[in-house]
Order: sequence, then structure tokens, then C-alpha cells
Amino acid sequence: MRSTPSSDPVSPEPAASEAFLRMEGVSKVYPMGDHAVFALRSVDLSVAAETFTAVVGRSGSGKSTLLHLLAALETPTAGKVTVGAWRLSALDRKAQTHYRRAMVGMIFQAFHLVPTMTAFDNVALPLVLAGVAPERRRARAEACLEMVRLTHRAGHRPAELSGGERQRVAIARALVADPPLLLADEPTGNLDSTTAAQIVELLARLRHEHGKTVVFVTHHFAEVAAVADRVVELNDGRVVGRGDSPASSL
Amino acid sequence: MRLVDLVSLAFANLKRNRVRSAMTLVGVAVGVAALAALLAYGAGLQRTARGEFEALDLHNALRVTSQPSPLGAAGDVAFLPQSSFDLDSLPPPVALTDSLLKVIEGLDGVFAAYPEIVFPVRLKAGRRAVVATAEAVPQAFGALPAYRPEAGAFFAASTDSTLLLAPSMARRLGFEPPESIVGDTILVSSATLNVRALRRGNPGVNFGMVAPPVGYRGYWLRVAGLLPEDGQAVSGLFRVILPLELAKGMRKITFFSTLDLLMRGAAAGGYSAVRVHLADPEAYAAVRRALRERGLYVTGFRDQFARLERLFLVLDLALGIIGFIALLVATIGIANTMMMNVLERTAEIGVMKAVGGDEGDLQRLFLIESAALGLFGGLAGLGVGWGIAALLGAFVDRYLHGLGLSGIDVFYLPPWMAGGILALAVVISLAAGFVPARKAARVEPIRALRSAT
Ligand SMILES: Nc1ncnc2c1ncn2[C@@H]1O[C@H](COP(=O)(O)OP(=O)(O)OP(=O)(O)O)[C@@H](O)[C@H]1O
Ligand SMILES: [Mg+2]
Repeated sequence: MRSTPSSDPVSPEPAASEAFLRMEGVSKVYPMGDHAVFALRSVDLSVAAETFTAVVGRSGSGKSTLLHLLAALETPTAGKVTVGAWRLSALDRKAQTHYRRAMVGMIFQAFHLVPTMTAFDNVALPLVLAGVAPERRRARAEACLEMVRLTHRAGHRPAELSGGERQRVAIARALVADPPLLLADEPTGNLDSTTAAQIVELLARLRHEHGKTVVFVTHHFAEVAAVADRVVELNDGRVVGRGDSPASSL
Repeated sequence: MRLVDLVSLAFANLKRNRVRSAMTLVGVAVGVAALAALLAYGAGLQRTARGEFEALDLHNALRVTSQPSPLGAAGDVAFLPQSSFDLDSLPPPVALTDSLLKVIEGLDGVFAAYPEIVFPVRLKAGRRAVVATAEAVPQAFGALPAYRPEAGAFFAASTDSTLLLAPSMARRLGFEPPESIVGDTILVSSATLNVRALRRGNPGVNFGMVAPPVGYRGYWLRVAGLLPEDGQAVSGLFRVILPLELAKGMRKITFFSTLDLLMRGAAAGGYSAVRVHLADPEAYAAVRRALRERGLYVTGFRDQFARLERLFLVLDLALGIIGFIALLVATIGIANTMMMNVLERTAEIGVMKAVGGDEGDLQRLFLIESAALGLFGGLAGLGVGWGIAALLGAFVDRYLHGLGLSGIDVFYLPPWMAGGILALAVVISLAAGFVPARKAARVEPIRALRSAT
């Protein structure tokens, strides 16, 4: 699929046939009493595999909602979401879980590590939940901690780690099941700019070296400008801008 | 998720909130201990009663009277009309004579038939005196295990001036070791009716006090042997055994209640009651039928024991309900703890779902946590209950030993009952954890993730 050359090499939007991730006419409406909140309004979006996409927009513009739809944590009110061979809008709860295990690694602004577990156990958690055997879990978790350069901190609990280290643990957790898609919701939001730069660099490296497709939500486009292939701007639930980032010409 | 992982995760979670988990455990332990102690108490009573019954070979014993006994089994009275105690309306009673005893002894399955002679006596040895019930048995009883003395020997002849008693009785009479009483002669006094005083129609006056028309008659009897006391400690408290012919010749008052006396007034001569001992418990129904066909009234000790067992069932049920309520209260503690755990960990549950957690697994995780609280609380409770039972049992034993008696099991918790209590604790803990676990499974990951930031 990816080997097919793009019909328009300068267009940031891949041809539908080539897209790894696709949203067609997707809306998400939250009923709020007598009125409704439109978190997303007929969004069309295609993302090619192994690319780095930045999603920007004001607070409340629908960025998190977009990520949650891609993670099958929510279902669209209208429209169609496809990731690889998965038709997300058609999945039942059990299939959603399978999809998340196979396809998605999630990274959050607040890290969301389990406070009582060591870094190692946090990283291995998705494999535990998926019922993977202990020996394989161990090997994978060690490899992923190595990828985020935290092997020496494996036995520490989140409270004993810095913000940047916690986020790297969270990234290792997102990588442990080797999913093709990484969804990061403001992963740098709680970090200083130096540490934030390290996280961005790490995710960019994962995309290049391990072929991950990264969707990265941020308030500060500047911090991803150097590594993002393209940027999608949301405003009030609509895609108002999409384009090559300067970096994609590299 | 693999079961081992679920279990170890559940334990890790319980350890997170040590104090809360510990307090919940204590609650369950107290509930289980209460339930176990109460049930063990009921079972202990029942076992003691059954032990006595079996040690005395009572399931082989029948009591035969010539008139319906108001003290008999329900079945004996039930077939009579409402005014059954109008004795004149009954067919003429069959006299319980020695010749009838011979006939009864000839029935298939009958080991012995002998007149019922039971009367109160006072035993005296040196300065010590003890009140007891004397019971006469025929020589044939020497062959029954329950009447095989553990020291000394059974009566050599039915007319010998001898008696058998239990070691505890010997101790109470001041013999230590109890075996030292064997061969000694003690004074056995029976109460007698002062017939002359009765005839005069006015009670005697003694130092200004009204004295009942009762006298005493003393007999010097040699202790032939000590009866085994295992399982019949309570009987040992008051029972002594006399040879049948000796007892027949002793002067005594044999009635135990006024009702008994009144019923006897209409008796047709002969003995007031006869005891039949079966050779084979299987013959029970047939012998009973044969006796009834002869116009006799039969009360089985076995029937009475069945009634006793029913009584125990009611007692056990009552004790069980009280204990169960205690356990139920403790389980509300589990429900509360689990609900708090779920609320506290909502964000974490959401994250687990977001990183591939399955609804069923999360529900199971919380169910395992509450089951573990039930299981370990239950084990602790059984331990505590056992400790309490052992302690109280030791006190009772010391008290009984002080009386010169061998100990009895006040508490008895058979393994199946302990297992059942434990299973019950786990099952109702699971029930208590059900709603919280469902709540955990239903956590919306999005809501949890959003609310945590
Ligand atoms: N469960 C919900 N019920 C009602 N409204 C909701 C719900 N979740 C999100 N919204 C609304 O949908 C809109 C989009 O929310 P979303 O979280 O996607 O924005 P965002 O771009 O991620 O904002 P931020 O940058 O602050 O994280 C907001 O107006 C929000 O209030
Ligand atoms: Mg957001």
C-alpha cells in the first residue's frame, strides 16, 4: 500500500488508497441537556503510515476527541474511522480492546502511570493485560526501557522519577506491545522545554527507526516543527488548516 | 489476562491500602469467628449428647409400660383420643410381670428384658457424700461393652451387695486415684416412704418443723468396679449401677414425679415399667411392633433422641442465623472497602482499559480482591474462633476436673463445617464485591482520563 507512489507528491494528504489512518465525515457530538456540544464537525483526514503528524488547535478545539476516536476509546456520532484494516466505527467493546492491544500505543499529558508499580511493571502492564507469558513480557519490557534509555531506573516507582523520565516510561509502555500507531496527547504539556524537546526527539526517532506512525497533539507547534511531516489544525471541531510542515521537505 | 497475573495484581492492590484492607479483614474475621464459635458450640453439645447416647447403648433400649406414658414419645400418645388421660376409657392394662418379661426376652432380637428400677440414692464414704441415681441392670449386661468395668469386675451375682460407678464419682467421694475405691465398701442410702406417717394422715412434727413422711435406709455396698466414662461424662456425674436382684430388695421410692405417681395409681400390678435391650438395633421396629400387639406401650430412647436431634437442629439454626448476621455485617464492610477501592482507582482503571485492559478481566480483578478479603478474613476468623473455643474449652475442662470429672468437648468444629464456613465467607464476599466490580468494569476510560488531568 505504501509502495504506491503518491499521485501528488507535494500534497500533505496521502491518497485514500495509501492512507494508513483515515477519517471520513467524522463528527462527535456530546449531548448536554437541551443543547449539544460539537467536539468534531465532519472531519476528513488521511494519514500515511510511518509519518509524524502534529495536531494543533486552541483548547477545546477537539484534539483529544480526535485521538480518542483513533484509539477506539470513543465511537463517532457520524462518519467512518479506519486504521489499517480496522473499521473502528464497527467494533464492539471486545473488538475495541483487541484493536487497542494490537494497534495503539497511547501517551498522555499526565503520564497516567500506576503509582504503586515500578517503571518496569508499568511498562509491562499492557502485556500483562493481554495475557502474554512472563518470559516474553520481561524481554519486551527490558527492550523498551532500553529504547527510552531508562534501564537503570527499571526498579523505581513513578514518584521517584522526574517528569521527563515518567513520560519516557509511558512511551516505553506505549511501545511494549509493538503497535504501529502511537497517539500522544500533549505529551510535553507538563514538561520544561528542554525535556519536551527530548520527548519530541524520542518520538521522531521511533518513527524513523521503528516505523511508527505518530499522531502528536500539542499547543506549541514550534516544538514539533522540526520533526513533523505535516500539521493539522483544528478550530471548534473543524480542520481549518493542514499542510506540510517545514520539516517534511527534509 | 492470566489468572496468576490477576491474582498477584489483586494482592498488590490490597497491599496498597494496608490499613483499610486490614480493618476489613478484621471485620470478616470477627464475623467468621462468631459464626464458627456458635456453630461449634451447637455441634459440641450435639456431639456430647450423641456420645452419651451411644456410650450408654441407648439406641438399643426400649421402655415398656402398661399405660401410655405422658413422658413417652409423641407417637405413643398421638393415636389416643383427646381425653387420653382419662385412664378408664383405655383398654385394661397388661400387667408387667416376670412371666411377661420371659415372653419378651423370647422375642427375636431381644437381648434382655428387665424391670425398670431407677431411684435416687446418697453415697457416703468417710466424710464425703454425693447424691446419685441408682439404676439396676441384669447380669446379662456384663457382656455389653458399655458395662465392662475399666477397673475391677462386673457383679459376680445379681444378689451381691455391690455397685459400679464412674471414676469421676470415685474422685468426688475422695478416692485418688479413682481405682483405689474398687473393693471398698461405701454407704448407699435410699429414701423410703414412712408408711405409718402417711396412714396417720398428718405429717410428723420435728423440732417444730413439718417433716415429710420420708425415711432413709442405708446399705453397705462394695464397689465392684469402675465403669468406663468415655463419652458419658455427664452420666458419670450422677449414675451408679446396681445388680438387679439387689435393687429389687432395697427399700426405695422409685417415682420421679407426681404425675408418675398418679399414673401408677391405676396400674394393674406388676412392675411400673420394663426396659428392653435389643441384641440388634435392626430389630427395633419389629420388637416395637410385637410389644404393641401385646397391648403394651413402647417408648424408644431412639425416638427420644430423634426428638432431641430435632431440637438441636433448631438450636443450630438459631445459632447459625446469629453468626450469619455477624458475617453479613462484616461483608458490608467488604462492599464498602471495594467500592472505595474502585472510586479511588477510577483513573487507573481507565488507563488500564486504554492500554488494552479487558472489561471482564477488570471485573475479575476486583472480584478476586473481595474474595481474597473473604478468604483471609475467614482463615483468620477460624483461627480466632479456634483460639476462643480452645480457651473456653480449657476453662470448662478445668472446672470439670475440679469436680473430679473428665473433660467434654464444649466446642466441636468438624473440618467440613470449617470448610463450609470458609466457603460461605468467600461466596458472600464475592457477592459483596459484585457491584463494585461491575462498576469497575463499566468505567468509561475517556471520562477517567479526562477527570484525572
Ligand atoms: N464527555 C464530554 N461531554 C461533553 N462535552 C465534552 C466531553 N468531552 C469533551 N467535550 C467537549 O468537546 C470539546 C472538545 O474537547 P477536547 O478535549 O477534544 O478538546 P482539546 O482540543 O483536547 O482541548 P485541550 O487542548 O484543552 O485538551 C470541548 O468543548 C469539550 O468541552
Ligand atoms: Mg485535550
